[in-house]
Amino acid sequence: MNKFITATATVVALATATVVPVLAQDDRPILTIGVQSLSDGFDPSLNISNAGQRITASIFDKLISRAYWGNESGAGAELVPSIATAWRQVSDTQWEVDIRTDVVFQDGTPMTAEDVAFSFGEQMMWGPDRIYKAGSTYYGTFTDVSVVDEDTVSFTTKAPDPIFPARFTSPLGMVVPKAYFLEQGIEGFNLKPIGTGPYKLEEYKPDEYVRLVSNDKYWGGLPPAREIIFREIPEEAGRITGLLNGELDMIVSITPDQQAFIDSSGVATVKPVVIDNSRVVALNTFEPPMDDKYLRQALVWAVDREAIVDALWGGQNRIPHDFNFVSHGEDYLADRPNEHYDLEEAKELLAKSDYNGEELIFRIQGGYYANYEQVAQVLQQQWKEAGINVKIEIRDTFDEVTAPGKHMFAHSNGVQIPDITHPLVNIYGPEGIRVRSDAAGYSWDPSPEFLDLISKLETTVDHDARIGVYEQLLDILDDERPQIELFQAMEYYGVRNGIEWKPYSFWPMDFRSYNLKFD
Amino acid sequence: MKMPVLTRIAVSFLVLIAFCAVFANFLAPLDPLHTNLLARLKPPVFAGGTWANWLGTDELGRDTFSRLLYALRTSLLIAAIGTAIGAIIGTTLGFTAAHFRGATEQIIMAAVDFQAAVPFIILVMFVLAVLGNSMVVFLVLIGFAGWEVYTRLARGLVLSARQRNYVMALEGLEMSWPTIYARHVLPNIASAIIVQLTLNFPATILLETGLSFLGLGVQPPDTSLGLMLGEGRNYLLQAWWLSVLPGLAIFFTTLSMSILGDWLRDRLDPLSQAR
Amino acid sequence: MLGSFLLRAVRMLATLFVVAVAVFIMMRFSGDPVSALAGPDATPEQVAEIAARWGYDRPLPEQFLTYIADTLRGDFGLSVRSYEPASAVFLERVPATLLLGLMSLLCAVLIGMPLGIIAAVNQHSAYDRFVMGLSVLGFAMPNFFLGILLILIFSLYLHLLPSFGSGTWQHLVMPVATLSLSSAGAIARFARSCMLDVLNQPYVASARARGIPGFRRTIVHALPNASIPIVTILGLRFGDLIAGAIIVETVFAWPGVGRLLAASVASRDLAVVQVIVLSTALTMILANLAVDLLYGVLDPRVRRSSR
Repeated sequence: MNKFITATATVVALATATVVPVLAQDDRPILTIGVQSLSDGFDPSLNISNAGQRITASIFDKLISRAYWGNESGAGAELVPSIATAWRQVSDTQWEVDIRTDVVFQDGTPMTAEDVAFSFGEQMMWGPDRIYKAGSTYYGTFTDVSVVDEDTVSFTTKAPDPIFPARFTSPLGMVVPKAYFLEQGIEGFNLKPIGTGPYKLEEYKPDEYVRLVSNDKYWGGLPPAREIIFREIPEEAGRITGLLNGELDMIVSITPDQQAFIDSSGVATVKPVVIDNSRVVALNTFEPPMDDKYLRQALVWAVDREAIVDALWGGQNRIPHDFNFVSHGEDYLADRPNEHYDLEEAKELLAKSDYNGEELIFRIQGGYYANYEQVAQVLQQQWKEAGINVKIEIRDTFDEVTAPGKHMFAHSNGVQIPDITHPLVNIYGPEGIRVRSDAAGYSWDPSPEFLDLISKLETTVDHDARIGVYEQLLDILDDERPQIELFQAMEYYGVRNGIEWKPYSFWPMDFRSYNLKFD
Repeated sequence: MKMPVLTRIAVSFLVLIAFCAVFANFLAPLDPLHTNLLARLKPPVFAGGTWANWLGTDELGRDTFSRLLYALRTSLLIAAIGTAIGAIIGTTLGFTAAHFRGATEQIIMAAVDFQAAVPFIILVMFVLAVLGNSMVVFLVLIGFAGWEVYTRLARGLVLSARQRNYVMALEGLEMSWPTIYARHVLPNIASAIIVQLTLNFPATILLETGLSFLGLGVQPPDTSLGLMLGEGRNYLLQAWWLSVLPGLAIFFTTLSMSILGDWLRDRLDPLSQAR
Repeated sequence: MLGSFLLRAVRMLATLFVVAVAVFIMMRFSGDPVSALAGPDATPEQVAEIAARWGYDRPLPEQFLTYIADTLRGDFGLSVRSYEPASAVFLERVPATLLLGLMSLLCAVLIGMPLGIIAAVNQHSAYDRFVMGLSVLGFAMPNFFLGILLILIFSLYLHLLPSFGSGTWQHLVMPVATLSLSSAGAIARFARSCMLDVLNQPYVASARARGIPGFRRTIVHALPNASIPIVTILGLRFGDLIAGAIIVETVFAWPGVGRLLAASVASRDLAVVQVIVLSTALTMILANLAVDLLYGVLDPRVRRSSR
């Protein structure tokens, strides 16, 4: 009998030894996440909203990663290897990037230097007939991308490019399989994406759920979850109940006022994170009387942002600091003065202006930016105290928001690349979305001096000189006031106790082995 | 005119809320738009709050009582005008269709088909998107909700009434059709239409509520019972008064309307009078 | 009879055509589909890219003719959200909504009709008052509020039912309860009122005089006549259920047509909106037709007059 048991145990032990990976795989939990909405597709370069990025981050890998996890607030700005192992500048305008050779796409084909060159090449990102029109925003400075050898890709830029490696951390920085992409076409790839990431898209039911399964051959180690299911639950009460009931492991998009309730449940904890995106009021400098600089300045000084942030986010949020973000790492200019609430100053500026109590139209896209409508109603009252008469109009689409007749509108400034040029250049550069006359958000014409400084900022390599130019630009903006920065976007994740996971200061949710653990 | 106690209470309540709605600007102790971020989500006085905001405050520190008065004004206005437009247009078209039959009836019923065929919420989404969401547009739109119910109802009832002996007899007496409809047919079918009216009035309030939930109703900073309820739903666990108070207002308005409707029905129905 | 039926059929097709045209006009004039797809933070290049991909850069009359021609051929086009045929996207969602809608209508009738009829028979009694109060409560409770209340009570506090999704009968309980409660209230009210009308008719009184017992009197003599207006209202409530589905499906994350419609309108997904609106319109027209036919069957007077 004993012999039999021993023998059996030995057989079992032997079997276990060989089958360990399989058993381990079965033991891994399924992670179910309740989200307020799902994206309509998974091409990482097309689905850059919060709903898209939180899913594509698991399907794809970036060429170069940003170590969000590197600081307390999940806003680390250091660049770290991902598909790329190293990068170096070989001349003023040329860079070489070494890539891993052990990476396999989720369909089993090995990833090559050819795939990397294609992902960031002329056809995809920066040529005149590029597939991703937005690619020029990030890679418009490229003039050539070519394969040097099986583990090296060379990039040539028009002018010296001080932020070259940081460009790949943008939402358009993912490596895609060339052959598969060309075979599927943009629509096919969007619905059946293949990447190198830790989880593979298995099933997509629009408005219902997205199911990812573990990519067991992931180059970065075995993913900690067997499956990840993103379930669309539009109502907040449904998401919270699902979390506290144990039907969901994680939820997103909770309003700050629910934090105490969830924390007190003993079942789950809320993890708030400040996002690299400030919500702003864009001022339409073309619509009188908003062409009056003093009126715009008065609008800024009349806003008590501290009171708003304290009350609506319990002080957990940050007040934005011009175009100057904590995510800029060492270049964050913490000492730069930030405007503060001063009603007297606002009234004085208003007296200097030609404003005569006209009704100013403030348009907002309903439900688009979390908490914005509430903040706008507080703003309206604060401006009223300063003697400025503002009417809020809530509209369905951005097109209706930016239709003629608006004096100001809701917009945002998002850091896509952790460098001081972003989001400044995207917004107020010559191609910026509030400067180009063909953009819906067109609302300000910068002076030639300002545009000169922008191009200097983009090409200056010397660090101190760069910061100097940057400060000059911020000074001009502080005087011109084409916008009012209100608050930073925040994301409140609800996480079941027993799950170790860190939120980042941008929309991607990272479920790789270094950032997800189950107790 | 004898009124049962219950009906008296219902009518008094309706008069009271109508009064509150009309004189909201005099009755409201505070500006309903005034925000006070230091006094957010304060409870009503009977739940531990203070008399400064005796029904508490909302998530922006605005006075719930003052907002409730203004919300009542908006909602009752929408319901009253909306119901009136729908009932008048609908009933008239129903009579017209039943009287003329033929092509007129076909055209009217085709319009009814169209209206009944397209879910009203879709119609609202589009019209508001085209014309922009102003109060006037919204009122007219709400008026168009449900007119087809009156048309179908009136047409069916008139068709049926025309076959009845008393109408045939009146026709034989060479009484003019408008007179027959106004004096004899309308009172006889009024009970069904009045019941529909008392259902339709609160239905209009509820339609506005549903549209507010979808973000298509009254827009902030204006408010209505539906919008208050919709915004308050996220605070059910922390500040129940934000949704329960407007909810109660909707309930008691509806209840009073239906009690009044029942009583009117009994009064207007000659058969039940005879009993 | 046949002539009037043909007329009815022609009117039906005309209505459908008008609906199709109206959908196009409303979708196109209610905001640029391209900007809806691209969102506020898109660059003009992204906007142009989307416009070209979906043919929104062609002149409107051309777009309209293409649309009508395709629709007549039964080709509704591809969904801009999923790149799949719009009809397939729609059909996939139909069973969920049908299940929810029919169950709710059934529950509403099973609860509402008896309550209303018994209330009518016992007019002015305490029972009558109670039922009417209850029906008002059901009717006056907004769908979304009731839904959230149910979730908080039965899922959050009592842990009895799942809070979202579909699949088992437990998932069906709260959405059906939410949808049917308001309908049941309205049906009970209407049933009571119609029943009272009939109970007061002379022939019921004469049945009473002939000594026919109360129960039999109610069921055999009064009910068939009372059911005429009730049936009318039932047909119309069908539309309310579809509208209600948009809200209830959102609250309970129920994967049906209602949510598809809301999402498709928001992203100006013309093809899908068109399929949904046309199918709903067709269903509603058929439901109304059925009601009219029933009307004729149930009311001999109308049957005679239309002959």
